[in-house]
Amino acid sequence: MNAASTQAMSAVGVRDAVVSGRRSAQSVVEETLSRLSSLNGIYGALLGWDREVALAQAAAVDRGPKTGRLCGVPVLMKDNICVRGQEVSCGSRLLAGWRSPYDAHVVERLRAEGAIVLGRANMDEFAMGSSNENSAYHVVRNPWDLTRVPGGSSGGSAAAVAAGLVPLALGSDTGGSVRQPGAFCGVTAVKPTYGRVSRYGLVAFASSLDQIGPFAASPADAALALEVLAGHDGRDATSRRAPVPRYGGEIASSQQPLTIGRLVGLPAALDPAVVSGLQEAERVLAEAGHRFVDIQLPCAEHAVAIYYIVASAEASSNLSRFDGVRYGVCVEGESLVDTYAQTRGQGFGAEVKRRIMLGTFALASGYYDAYYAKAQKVRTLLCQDFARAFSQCDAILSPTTPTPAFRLGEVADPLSMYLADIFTLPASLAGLPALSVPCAFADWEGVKLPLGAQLIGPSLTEGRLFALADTLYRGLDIASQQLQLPDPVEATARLGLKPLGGEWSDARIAEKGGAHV
Amino acid sequence: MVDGKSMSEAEPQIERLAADQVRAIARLARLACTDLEIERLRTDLAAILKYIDRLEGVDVSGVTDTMHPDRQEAQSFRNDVPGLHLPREEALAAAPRADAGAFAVQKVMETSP
Repeated sequence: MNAASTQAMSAVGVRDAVVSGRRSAQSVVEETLSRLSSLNGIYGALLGWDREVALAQAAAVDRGPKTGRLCGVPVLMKDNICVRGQEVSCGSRLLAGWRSPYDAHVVERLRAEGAIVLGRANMDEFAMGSSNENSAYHVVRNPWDLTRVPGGSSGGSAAAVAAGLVPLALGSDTGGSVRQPGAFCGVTAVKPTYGRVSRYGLVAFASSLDQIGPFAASPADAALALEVLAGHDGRDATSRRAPVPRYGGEIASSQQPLTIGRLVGLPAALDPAVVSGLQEAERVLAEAGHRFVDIQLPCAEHAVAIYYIVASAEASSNLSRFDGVRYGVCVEGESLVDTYAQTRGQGFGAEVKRRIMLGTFALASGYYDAYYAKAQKVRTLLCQDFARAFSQCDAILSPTTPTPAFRLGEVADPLSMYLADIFTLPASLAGLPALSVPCAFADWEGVKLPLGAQLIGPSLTEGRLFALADTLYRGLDIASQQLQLPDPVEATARLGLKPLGGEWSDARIAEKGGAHV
Repeated sequence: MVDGKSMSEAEPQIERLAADQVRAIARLARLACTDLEIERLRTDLAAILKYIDRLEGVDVSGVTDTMHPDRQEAQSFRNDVPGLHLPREEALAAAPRADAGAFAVQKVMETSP
């Protein structure tokens, strides 16, 4: 089987085909379901999907007026985004089997534009992790090298788009959880400005940082997705009221030369392939008429320390709702307090416990000023660094990650895993829009591994970032490199890999651990 | 011997938090942890906190907190009007225990003898 022949069309391509009547939404969905059935056992990107629900949505689109901007386009949800009637487990045993009684704002937006909301993407438990190895269910394999991680925490979403299983997927980015797996898997991945996309119906991790963002092969598809997802929602008090531009239109019209800040001075051990990939990106942007200046963000070197205090503190508070009383599993103890502790002790995995412990410590009486209050002040200094940088440039270019995807099981020490987030954390802490776009596919021990370039802009400049990303995508001919994905069936046989579960049904997941934690 | 030092000198001592301190945090966090988990957390948390201590050297005198990255935008509150909300039975549908239209929990107050 040729990998390219099994891949999904672009979102724009599917939409145009369905709107023009060349294809029915039903045929698009059937083809997608067939890809999932044959390939998800290899990648492990999805935790489940409901065939009947997907086909019913397709039938409704085919009967309707076909005016939606994502008419007939299958969109995969990360498993922490609420879809009415569908299981939402957050990659955790604690929530296994829980079905959401309502739709997230983004799901409402997608449905309103004719999209087919399809499947649950695997993820690190409660979005905590950089490798997807913290999923309580199974790992996700990187489509470019099945022995490597897809990144995290939105690893399933990134891998599904990279493998061509679906044209679009949603993830959530708290400290890089969309951009980093996007870079590792060779797709476009966007973290919008904080407040640009409503968090209503996103299971909260760190509320001052969380943002939902899209994955797509190309910047054009990602721009179309964000156009649909963005906009004010009164149910999220942090939702921005600014009008939503036609991001796709900004790609087409924006050709004016910009000043791009080359981020220098961050202490990170960059892989040589990352350095040369970024140089190529600079060359293409310079040829398009953009000018480069060196910029520094002196406090960005503290981003890991700030983030792991702030995000953990917010997580320790947000995750207190998982107590075995209202939803999820319950492990009954001798008293109510004991029931809380037993439920959480047995329901949460190691990384989630580590972060709750760290956050509880940082907020504890006697430590608050030294840790949480201090981190929030250094966060202010970092925001000021960005403000100074954006007085000199229109956007900042950096690597998304210091290295390409690492091997499954390779990084075992939690602190080493955290330190690799150094490039994605600063924009998260400052609430700025940032995206990752593939800038190279490096030859690496006999395989090709994607590398990502990160573009960060001032608040609400997503359109500018999409235009720059599109210049890179076209200038570096990323589309044809994306098509050179290794044949998954051949690679599985060569590596002697066992399937990761194939067509997982919710019942099988419950059997595997959910019901008996 | 490495560079003339004994192994114990050459190897950095693994820093750990006191077990009692980790247990106290676990109690606050309502997390039942096994002894093995406590042992791992003693090392992991110590390493992360040691890294985080680098913030000590940053001068933040006169700097205000950033609790929220979007300071310019006034926080908006909804108008306080009744609207459609989750029906009670749907909210209770996923509860491990429900009784008389409410979430049921174990007894939290003892009657005095």
